[in-house]
Amino acid sequence: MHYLTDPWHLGFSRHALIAGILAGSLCGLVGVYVVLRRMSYIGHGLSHAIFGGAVVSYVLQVNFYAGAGAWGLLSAMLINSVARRRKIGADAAIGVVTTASFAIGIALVSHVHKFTINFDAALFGNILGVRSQDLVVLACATAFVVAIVFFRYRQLLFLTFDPDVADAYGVNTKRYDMLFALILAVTVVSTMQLLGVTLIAAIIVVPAIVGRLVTDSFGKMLIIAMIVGALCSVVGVYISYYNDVASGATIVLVAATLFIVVFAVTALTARRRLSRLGEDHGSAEIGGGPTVHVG
Amino acid sequence: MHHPIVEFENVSYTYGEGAVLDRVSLTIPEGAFVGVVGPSGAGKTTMLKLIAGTTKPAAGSVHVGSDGKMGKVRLAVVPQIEAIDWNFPVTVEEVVLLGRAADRRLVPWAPAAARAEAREILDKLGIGELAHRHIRNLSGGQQQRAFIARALMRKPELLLLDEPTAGVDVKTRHDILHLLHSLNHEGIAIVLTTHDLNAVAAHLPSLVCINRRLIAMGTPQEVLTPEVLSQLYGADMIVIQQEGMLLIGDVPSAFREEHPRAQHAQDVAPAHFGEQPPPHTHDTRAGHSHDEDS
Repeated sequence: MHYLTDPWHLGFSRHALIAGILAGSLCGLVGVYVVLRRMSYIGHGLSHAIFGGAVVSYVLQVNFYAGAGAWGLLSAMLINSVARRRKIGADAAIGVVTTASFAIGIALVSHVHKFTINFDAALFGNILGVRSQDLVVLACATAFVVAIVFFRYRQLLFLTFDPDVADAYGVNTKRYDMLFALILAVTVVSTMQLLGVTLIAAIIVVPAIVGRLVTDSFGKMLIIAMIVGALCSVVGVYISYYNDVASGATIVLVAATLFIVVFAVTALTARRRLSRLGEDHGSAEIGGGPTVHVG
Repeated sequence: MHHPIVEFENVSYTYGEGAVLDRVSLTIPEGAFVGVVGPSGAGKTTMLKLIAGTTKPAAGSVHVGSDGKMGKVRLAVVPQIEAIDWNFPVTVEEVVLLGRAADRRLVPWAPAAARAEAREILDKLGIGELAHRHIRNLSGGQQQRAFIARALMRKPELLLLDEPTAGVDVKTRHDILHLLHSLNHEGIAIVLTTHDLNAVAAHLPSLVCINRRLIAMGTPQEVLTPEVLSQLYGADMIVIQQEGMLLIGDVPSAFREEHPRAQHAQDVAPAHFGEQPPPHTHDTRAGHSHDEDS
């Protein structure tokens, strides 16, 4: 039992566990919209774009959350507007906007040569190094996104499911696209330093996919993705704490393992259901089919 | 006298290369039941988008309104079923309730009254027992009805449907068109696009023929002629009238070679087997869709 309680007694691991619950549930929630809009790579791309924003805000001596947040919002809006042009598509839009933004960050890092901070945490995440103020920002970001999803549930659902006709039903797609871009930027900026630019995509995408595999209901998918995201993060932090392995990597590996298990179980269940259906059909034919008399 | 519910004035639209719609002017009156026909790429779906207001014309103007007050009309759109992500995690009831997505409500769940109304509409369309089924687990006709139910949740004065009879069997097509006919009798103006000339000839009181520009507009009897169809599709077609019903078919090239008289569609004399007008086309004016049993 002390294995479960020990990490809660130390300040840094307690912070990490709380951050894991908040970041996992936040990414899981937003991930549902990302996956269903077929923009799975946006988490990966946007975190790279925001890395550029983080470097720019450091160079300009602007607060990280303000600078990177504004940069992230701008990138997400650009991706949305480029993706709406059918000739290009979301994947290409993500590729162009985010790599260009990441490149700005890299160019600045290589040009300025005067950085007193290490950007490794931004790249690979450091949930065990989370500070109280980071927790406050993360809690506010989670509350904000949950509130938006709760109060604008039906509009966001319509926009995700059938964006081509949403306007005709009174849902202002431009306004909600912008709101979605804001949600995305807030999510990535608030969780980037915990999970890392390179690993954040998995925590956005995997819980949503697990949710999709086990339910056909949008509302349930949101709740399942939040729980799965939080659970993977907490288990990942425990593994990281006891085995001295990078926390971002363990969280992602736990999520990937869970995905494999759920995928295998749901595939086996579906196959078993099909074969049972085949057996029932076969026995019905043998027992109840027409009798043919020859001769 | 019916006020116009849709007015196009010299409307043009382009997606970048050439005009998809070229100086189209037309009027659709309140309570009309209009089919928009034309070849692929003729601008049919663009026309619906312009009416719905999701696309703005490059030139000219589109006015949509009712009771003589332009700009104020409740409209609903039923998209092509090919455009829907059928793996999206929603049930039939959730889809129908989206018809009220724009209502100002703070909580995500629908009120009991809206749920009861959704149930009533689904029952009316004959799919009430499928309310909790995932949309993937429906037949083509049931899927179409689920989206018509979503549109009806909006209590539309104008209903736009993009190819509602595409990809469904003959019986389902017949059922859908009958359903739309009865909705039209309840006072809803309907504009639909289709490739199915025989179905619209049998079920719709008025047609708009477009191929980037307006080719013809009127009753099926008036516009479904070999001349108009040849102009519309750039191919020879024959039109036969049998027992008051219009039958349209294309003329295969091999047949044309073997039968020189049929080289031009207009050479094939329409067969007149009866004097009665086709069913559901009693009124000859576009927009006057009320027939005898209304």
